[in-house]
Amino acid sequence: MMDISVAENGDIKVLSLNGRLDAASSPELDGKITSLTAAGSSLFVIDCLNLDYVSSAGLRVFLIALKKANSMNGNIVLAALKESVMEVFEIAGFSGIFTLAPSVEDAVETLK
Amino acid sequence: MYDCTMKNKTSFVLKNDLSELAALSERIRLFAEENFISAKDANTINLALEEVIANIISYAYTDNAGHSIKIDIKLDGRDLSVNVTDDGGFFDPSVFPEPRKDIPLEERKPGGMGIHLAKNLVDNMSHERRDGRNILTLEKLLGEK
Repeated sequence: MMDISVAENGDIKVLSLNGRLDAASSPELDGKITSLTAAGSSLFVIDCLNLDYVSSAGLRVFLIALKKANSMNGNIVLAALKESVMEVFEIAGFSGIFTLAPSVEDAVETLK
Repeated sequence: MYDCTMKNKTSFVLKNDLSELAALSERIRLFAEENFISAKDANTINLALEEVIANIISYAYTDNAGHSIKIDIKLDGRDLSVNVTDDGGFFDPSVFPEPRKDIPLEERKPGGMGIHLAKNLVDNMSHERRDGRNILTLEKLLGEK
């Protein structure tokens, strides 16, 4: 189960994820990001403070989103990753390709 | 000497549908609680199993029919062993090559990470094909309670 809430900070869209990002819930995040990029958004902060769990399906969505944002000269910053989620990123070799920040505020600053 | 070794097991069946991942999580949570498995270990097992099962659901079957995936979990002391049995086509993820991690973003493909994750989260992954079924065994030595 996962809830996604979207907030705006200037041009930056802040998506707060609450719950588990797995194979069943990842299409919802994919759809959300796709509709936002289609509407012209290319700067994203993903607030992972309440993201308890991410599987490869979630990593796939993040990767596709990052490529899309970069192709629009934008970027995605992942904020406040939990330790268990960070481990998954590291095993998958993702920690080098994503910009991470300890908090949403720091993430927003990085993008400005 | 008081023997603290515990043996316990549980078995359940999942349908080949991603919505069953919620049931998987719940079963693991319950087993973990009953057997003093740490939240970290439970999370790790959940993730490894999700990856394996999601692959089975996505790739093992060529029809659009319902199939059963059987999960057998056994705990012997701190040795955890999980068997995942399906009746789909031959599918042995234990021999999948490691995806390359040194390539830049533009060349990264979104797929292939699930089995790699599962393999790295457990101590051993082995496959057997028997009576038209795949039996994938995941083994992990758990941490302290």
